[in-house]
This record gives sequence, C-alpha cells and structure tokens, in this order.
Amino acid sequence: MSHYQVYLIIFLPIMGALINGLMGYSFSKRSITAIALGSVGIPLLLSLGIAYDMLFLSAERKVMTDTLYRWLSEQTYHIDIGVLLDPLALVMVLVVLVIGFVIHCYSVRYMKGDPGFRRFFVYLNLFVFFMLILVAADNLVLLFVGWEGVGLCSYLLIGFWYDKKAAADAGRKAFIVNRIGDCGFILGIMLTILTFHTVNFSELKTILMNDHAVSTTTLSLISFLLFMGAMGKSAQFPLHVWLPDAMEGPTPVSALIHAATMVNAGVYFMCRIFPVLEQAVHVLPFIAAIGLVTAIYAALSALGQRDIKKVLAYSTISQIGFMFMAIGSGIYAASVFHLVTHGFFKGLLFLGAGAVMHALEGELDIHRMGGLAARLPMVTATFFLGILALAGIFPLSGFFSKDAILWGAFERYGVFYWGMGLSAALITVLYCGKLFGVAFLGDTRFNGRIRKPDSLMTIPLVVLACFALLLGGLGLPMFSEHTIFAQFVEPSFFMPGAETGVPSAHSRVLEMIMTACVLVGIIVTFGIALRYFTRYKDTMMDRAVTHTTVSHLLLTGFGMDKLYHVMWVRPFQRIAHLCDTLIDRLLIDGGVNGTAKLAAEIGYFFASLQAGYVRYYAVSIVFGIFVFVGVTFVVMP
Amino acid sequence: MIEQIIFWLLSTVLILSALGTVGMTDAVNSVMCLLAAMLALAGLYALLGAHVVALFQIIIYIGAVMVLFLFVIMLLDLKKTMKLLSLRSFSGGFGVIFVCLVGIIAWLFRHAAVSVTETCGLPAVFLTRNIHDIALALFSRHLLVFELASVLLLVATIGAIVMTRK
Amino acid sequence: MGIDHFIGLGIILFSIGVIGFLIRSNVIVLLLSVELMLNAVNFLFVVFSRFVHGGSTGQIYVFIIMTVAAAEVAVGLAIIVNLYRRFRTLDVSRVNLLKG
Repeated sequence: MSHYQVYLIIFLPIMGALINGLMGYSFSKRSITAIALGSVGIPLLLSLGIAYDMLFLSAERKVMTDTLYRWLSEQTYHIDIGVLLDPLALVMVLVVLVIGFVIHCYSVRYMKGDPGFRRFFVYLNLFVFFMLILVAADNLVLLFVGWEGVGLCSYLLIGFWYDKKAAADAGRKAFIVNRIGDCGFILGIMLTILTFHTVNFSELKTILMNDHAVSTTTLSLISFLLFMGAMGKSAQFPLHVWLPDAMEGPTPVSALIHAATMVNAGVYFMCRIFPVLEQAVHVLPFIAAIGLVTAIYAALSALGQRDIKKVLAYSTISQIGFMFMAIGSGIYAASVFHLVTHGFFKGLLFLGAGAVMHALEGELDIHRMGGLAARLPMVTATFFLGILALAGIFPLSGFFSKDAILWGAFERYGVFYWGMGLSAALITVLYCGKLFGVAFLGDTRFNGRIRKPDSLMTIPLVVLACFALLLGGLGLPMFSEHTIFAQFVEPSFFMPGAETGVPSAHSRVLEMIMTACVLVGIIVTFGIALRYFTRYKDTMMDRAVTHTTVSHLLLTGFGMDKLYHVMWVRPFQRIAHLCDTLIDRLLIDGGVNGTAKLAAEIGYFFASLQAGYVRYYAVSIVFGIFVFVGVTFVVMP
Repeated sequence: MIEQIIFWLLSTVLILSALGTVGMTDAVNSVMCLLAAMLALAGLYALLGAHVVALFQIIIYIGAVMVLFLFVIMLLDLKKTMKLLSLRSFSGGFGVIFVCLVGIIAWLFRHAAVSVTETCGLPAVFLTRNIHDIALALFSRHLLVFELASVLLLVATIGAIVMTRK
Repeated sequence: MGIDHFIGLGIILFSIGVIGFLIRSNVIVLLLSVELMLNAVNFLFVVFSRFVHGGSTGQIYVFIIMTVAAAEVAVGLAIIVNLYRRFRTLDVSRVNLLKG
C-alpha cells in the first residue's frame, strides 16, 4: 500500500474533470464517457486493492499517513496538506467510489439526450475529487476544503438545468443554508487552533488521550460549533430545508450526492473528531436529541409527500437523523455501518425512482402512478428490495444497522429514548409502505406510453440491490460489539486510556428480545401499510381532501420553509430594498451623478461667460487691464 | 506764451471732439467729430516738434482711414445717412473753426525745416532735426519693423478685399 | 506746462475712447473709439519721445502704430460690411450667435 496509490486515487477524478472540462468541447460522447468512467473506475480498482491489503495488515499498520507539503505555518501552529488513510477513511472511499461508479454508468443512459452531457460528467468527477479530499484529509482545514468543494459541486449540480428558475433557486438555497452551518464550522476550527494549536486529527487524538488542561466547556463549545457545520451539510433539523428542494437536480445527482455521499460527510466528520466529542459531555446528548427530532420530523413529513423524490429526500434526512442518534450514543461504528448500508439502498431507491421517471416521461407524483409492477418488473423488484432495506426488515442490510443503533441508544439513554427511536422506525415503515403501495401496486393510474429502461439503467439497479442484500452480512455476528464491520474500523476508533466501549450492562437476552419485538413491529406495520395503501387508494385520496390541514402540514414539512421565509428572508429583502433606495440611489448615485452635475454646472457657468456680445468681451478686457496694472504696479512693489 | 494758448485751445477742441465722437447718435456725425479730433491732434504733434508725425497723421489717418470709414458707411447704404444734410445750418460755423485750426497748425510748422533748440517754452531737451533724424533711424535701426509693417499692410489689404467680395 | 499736462491729456483721450467702446452699440462707433484709443497712445508716444531720453524711437513707433491701425481699420470695416450683409443691422447687442 504505497502512497502513490492513494494520490492516484485522489487525483485521477480531477484529471478527468479537467480533461473533459477544458478540452472536451470537441470530444464525442464516447470519449467523454470513457474519460469520466475511467477517472472513477481506476481509482475504484486501486482502492479495492488497498482494501485487500488492509485486511491482512496488523492493527498499527492499518493507518497510513503522509504529508504532501506544508500549507500554512504560524509560530504556534501549522497546517499541512496530508492524507490520513485508516479503515474508516477507506470505508468511505469505497462507498464513494463504488456508488459513484455505478451512478456514473447509470447517468450515461439517463443524461443521454441532454445538451449538458459533458458538463454533467465534469461536475460529477469534480464532486468525486472533492469528496475524496474530504474523506482522506488528515486535518480539519483540508477537510473543510473538501467540504466546501462538495458544497460547490452540489450547487452546480442541483442547478444543473439552470434556466429553470426552481432549480436555480434550489441550488442557491442549498449553498446558503450550508453556509450557515459552515459559519459554525469555521468558528470551531478557529477555536480548535486557539485551544490546541493544531488541526491535525492524529495530533488532536494524542493531545486528548493524555492529560490536558482544556476545560470541558471549551471542548463542548468546539464540538457544538463543529456539529453546526455537520448539521448544515447533513441536513439535520433545523438546517434541513435545502434537501427537499435539491431534488430539482437530475436524479443521479440526488442519488450520489444527496443520499450516498455528501450528506454523510457530516456523519463522517463527527466520527473523525470523536475524541473531542467523547470528552465534551454536554454535546453528545444534544447530538442525540437533534438526531431523534430530525428522524421523527422527517419521517412524518415523508409520509405527507406526493413527489416520489421528495419522499426519498425526507427519508434521507430521517435516516441521517438515525446516524446522528448513533453518534450521540457513542457507537460510532454502528453509525458508520448505517451510513454504508443507507448509501447503497438509498442510492438504489433513487436510481429506481429515476428509472420510473424516465419510463413515465418525467412523472413525479406517486398518486398518478400505479400498477407499475406488471410493466416494469426489474425496476419494481429492485425497488422492493430497497424498500425492505429502508424499512429495516431482516435479512436485508438495513435491519442490521438500524437494530444496532436502537440497541446502542437504549444502552446509553434508556427506554424512553429507545421508544422514540422505535416510533421513528415505525413511521419509516409507514411511508415505505405508502410509497411502494401507491406507486407500484394497485390499479394503473398513468395514461401514457411507458418506456422500458434498457440494460445500462437496470444493471446498476441490480448491482446496488445485491449490495443492499448482502451488506447485512457485515453486521454479523449479531448481538455483540465485535461485528465484522466494527472490527474492521476498530483502529480508527481506538483511543487507549479512554472509555470507548462501555461493556454491555444489560444481558444478551434482553437485547435479543427487544430486537425481536422491533422486527415483529416492523413487519406487522409494513404489512398493514401495504394493504391499506394498495387497496384503499381511492379512499386515501378522499381522506387527503378531508384532512387537508394535517396533510398540508405534512406536505410542507410542518411549514418550515414558510417560517424561514418570514423569519429571515423577508427582513433581508426589506433591508436590501432599504439599501437600494436609501444608500444606493440617494447616496451613491446622488454622489456620482452629483459630481458629474457639478462638473457640468461649472462648465455651464464658464460657457455663460461667452455671451456672444462684443461689449461683454470689451468689459472683461478692460477689467483685465485694471487687474493687470493693479497687480504690476500696486501689489508687486 | 503763445504756445500755451495754442495748447489749451487745441486740447479743448480735441476733448470736445472726442466726446462728440463717442456721443453722437449718427455714425457719420461720429466720423466727422473724430476727424476734427485728429486734426487737433496733428496740431498738438506739431506743437511738440514732431512735424513728421503731424503730417503723417493728416495724410494717413485723416486722408485714408477716415475716408475709408466714410466710404464704407456710404457702401452700407443706411437710410439714416440722409439725415446728415439737416446740419447744413451750422456748416458755416464749422467751416470757420476748421480754417482756424488749419491756420494754427500751419503756423506751428514754421520751425519744421530747421533744427530748433527750443519750442513752446519748454526746455530744449532731446529735440531732433525731425525729418532728417527720423528717416535715418527708420531705415537703419528700425528697418525690420518697417518691413514687417509693410507685409502686414499687404496682408490686411488682401484680407479686406477677399472678405468683402460677394 | 510740463509733461504732466500732456500725459493728462493723453489719459483723458484714452479714457474717452474706452468709455465710448463700452457704452455704444453702433459697431462703427466702436471702431471709431478704438481709433481714438490708438491716437491717444500715439500721442503719448510722441510726448515721451519729446520729454524722455530715447531719441526718435517714439516717433518711429508712432508710424508703425499708424500702419497697424490702418490695416486694422481696413479689416474691421470689411468685417462690418459682412456683418451688415448677414444681419442687416449695425447694432452689436443684437448679434449674439456665438453665445455659449
């Protein structure tokens, strides 16, 4: 596992982006596709090679660090450009590259007729590059560089069809809300530099492992500020409002960025700074609370959505809420495991939704779909697998990861918290059932030609479905902390001298019983939901009409957008208007125009001296003589 | 003694004529007054012993410039010039004054040909044998200025002809 | 009767010419006032050549001034002729086309 492999992995995507971007005007579609796929595919192979190596190395050697060069240096601290590749980073790299490659293949067909074909792949490659920088960074600042980069690519890709006003607005909204989180992030970085005089993750871990004089208040403050950044990027309440709007972008973008990779950056980031979080005792419960609130809120909102992609968007918000619940409970490995499984099945669901939209000529509303099971069998089958995984049904991967989270939450915060988490999981099942039942089962409500997707679109679906099925195996053996996955990422979370893994205070039997209850509850709810939404669709639509308040509330995500509009957008618009009329028009324009007018007035005054009358000139001559004589003979001597 | 009387007489005529020049409403009347002023001025030049200048004043200024003025006024064909003839009743008096003036000036020229050491009761400082000395100076020391002035006259003549062509 | 009387006379003559130039609106009278001013200056030159050491330089300059005045009158009258042809008036206060 040499350094060059890592650098190649990171820099091949940007090479692809640059080649396609700067020189790709005249390339054929084949060449563009080849360059784009190659710049993701080759890193994928290289990282698979690294993974294979890493499996057989001893624990100390599993972590690879390298510094490229010194970026900034002050007297007290310095910032380097460097790589930290440990099992956690490698997991993320694999997630990004595998899902990324699959989605690249899918997009070749999805974006076939689009005039912005080349631009799309340039942006996608750029995104992969920045995401890899984020994941492989060895210090806070370099991670932030990747953070901002993926934010930029997200903006570019959400607003990909920029002449559509809704898309451009959505891109802007994403960037701005992200920025609010980044505010906290930057303040956190500054505070870290002030407190620890370093931003390097390894050095931070070393400092925090030994005795240090940093107060818990400072640590809590740092953690809170950095968590603010994670909230913005990972779309947690209350900075989640950008993610549903981000569905204006093309579906592969939604799949890659807003389900599998970018929104998980916040979770990954929290895992990276886990030493700080561990010692900031006030912040972990706060993170867990936010995660829980988000999970429940988003699940309820997903229930009320009509747009297929918006259901999936709110579902993503909710699942990331689960991941933050895990972080708040201190079980980082479980959170990362859920991240991985969620990436695959959510990506699968999004690609499936894209296939459905592609087949139905862009129809989004699930109430207008129906009975697609017969017409699109492959899509329906893979979508069903994804739904099962999302709902958390054994033996798909979602079950293992969700179960681990719930158990960890129970251990740390008790049964009430576990109950709320369970209710979030059940509401998840409800909207899963609704989505599948309304869109794919029942009577056909769609009038129009259905285009079957071809193999280039279905093969990625199949690949992702396999992963969704099989990844659950990494969660074995169950009911212990030492699952295969946790053992693999163990070195990343190893902090000698600190209490990371609390030995299970409750018995294994209790855990098994609770897991069984959860599973039964999920299956029962799923069955009920499917039946209800499949068979009684018409009454459901009537109900939606009669229960307008509730459904409207759910549809708009409890009115968050309206609230933000009144709280923030309108005052800013008023201020901008005030600036325009008062400062811009009155002061600045008045000043500039006034200067011009002054110059003109002086000109007019002097021009008026030319009256055209000879007598005026004569008078001025005589006056001048007097002045001249007076000066020469009176003033001078 | 007599020079003083002549001085005051000529000065009075001069100033009155000047006032008349700027004060008369009719253009031709103004020209005539200026003519009288120039005549008086010529007398003063002669009084001061600059006989050549006096002669030139009469010949060039009165004889050419004023005549040019009158010609142009005539050329402009103003209706008002007809009013000139109404002053006929005073013309006898003006004629007498004119003759007297000319006589005075002629008398002042009695010392023109010879160099005198004293005139008009003034100390005979810097008196010149007028024509002789002026000619010597004009054509030796001030030759360049003289030639330039003649070029200027040529240019002005051509310019005036060009400008008044129809 | 010293030099002061003559200088005073010259000054009075010049002032009358200036005042006439400033007050009158008939363009011919303007030109006549200019002539008056020139004559006053000639007179002063002669006075200075008579009473102040300088030889006959003053009188030579008088010739040159007379020449220039004659040229100026010629051109000025040509302008007046054109002015009359264009505006049909000799009133200088009615002619202000060069007004800025």
